[in-house]
Amino acid sequence: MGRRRSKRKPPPKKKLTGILDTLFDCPFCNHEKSCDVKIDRQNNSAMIQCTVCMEDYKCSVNYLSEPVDVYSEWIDACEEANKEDD
Amino acid sequence: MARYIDVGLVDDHNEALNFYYKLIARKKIPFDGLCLVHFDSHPDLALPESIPVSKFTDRQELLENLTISDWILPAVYQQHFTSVVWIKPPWSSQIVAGEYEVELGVDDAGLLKTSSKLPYYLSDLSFNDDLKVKRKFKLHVIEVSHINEDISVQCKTLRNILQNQQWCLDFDMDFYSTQNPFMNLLGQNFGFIDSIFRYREMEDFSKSLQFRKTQLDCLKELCSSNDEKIELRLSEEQKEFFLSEVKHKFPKWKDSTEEAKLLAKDDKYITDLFYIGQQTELPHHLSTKTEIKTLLTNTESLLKSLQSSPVAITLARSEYDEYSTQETLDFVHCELVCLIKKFYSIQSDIECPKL
Repeated sequence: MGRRRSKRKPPPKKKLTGILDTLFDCPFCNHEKSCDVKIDRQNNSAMIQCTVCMEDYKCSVNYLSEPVDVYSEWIDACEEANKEDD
Repeated sequence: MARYIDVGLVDDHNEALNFYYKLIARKKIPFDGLCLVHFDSHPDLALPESIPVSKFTDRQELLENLTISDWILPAVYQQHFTSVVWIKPPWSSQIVAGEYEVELGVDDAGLLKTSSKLPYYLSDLSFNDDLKVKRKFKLHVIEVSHINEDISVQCKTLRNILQNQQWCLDFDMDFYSTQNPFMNLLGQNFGFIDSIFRYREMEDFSKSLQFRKTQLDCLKELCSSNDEKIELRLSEEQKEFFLSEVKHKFPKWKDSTEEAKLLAKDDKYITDLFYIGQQTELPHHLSTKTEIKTLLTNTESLLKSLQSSPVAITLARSEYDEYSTQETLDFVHCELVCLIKKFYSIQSDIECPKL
């Protein structure tokens, strides 16, 4: 009954992305790849911390969250805080 | 200041789900309770056959296993979308306009199935009334005309559905003009193939279901074999169907289409012939420019009548699967981008083809 199928043959299975980044540049001390993300899937929480300047950020996560999402949220929070300071 | 709306442009429509999942992961749109407003010539509401429900939480594996026909319901089952509005043109008859409560659940094999008796699901053998971990969602189907007609009723219906509701706006550009890419492959045999593959609705839905199973099993067997003694291998029910409707014409079909001849040289002959045969019921309507413009005007009227903005927007071109022609797509693509910019503040500029 009109289930729309692709005319193309399905391509061989490939991963959608390469290995996702887990280390990020620090927005405080600017060290490259110094921030490490730890995701606690059981408690739906995450923490990112710079191993050089020890600045950190904690947030809630869901099953779709990846380390890059935690880092992005930290950057957004920094930008928000900077706006408030201005 | 009004919040910017993220817009995702994809080709294969199932890639839209990746875009929504990224926004959910980044907490840019709510995790659950969203309504998906889906403009398309196809419902895309089939149930995935190649991934069990237990893997729906593995984002990468899920996205790799979904197709253009079944990308919506996994997100419904995960309750990211709790209702779906399919806005369809008049040439799409897969699901009749109306409001439905659809129950989803997990079958014994761990796959997602439905207890809905809609022909769309019965014909696909997706029906199962012995389900575990059941979840229901509201499906609204609204038909919008391609000729100048009053659409105030459709506007009011959509406005009521989206009242106090956060929603995503999703377009497949083949909503405005679509072709059945499998039609050309069947050529002069289209009518015959359509007649043997078409789903037959009977008064008693369980009879429809049983007949459908017999019909598809028999056709699968026939497509897979060049063996003249095939009758011996069919069950009594399949034999009845074969003798009354298929026998004399079927060999001719297998030999007469160019595509069939090519496929016969291929190891995948079996699956492909069966696969193509099931595609005869797809809508096919190549719209005139006037019809496209009327549909665009009606789209504008619908969006204008709403009291809220979407939280995210996706546009799918469906070009490489040939569900529409490139010339039509380029025109619709540019017009839709103008329409979106007219009504909403968008995050970034959307890529547009040069006309």
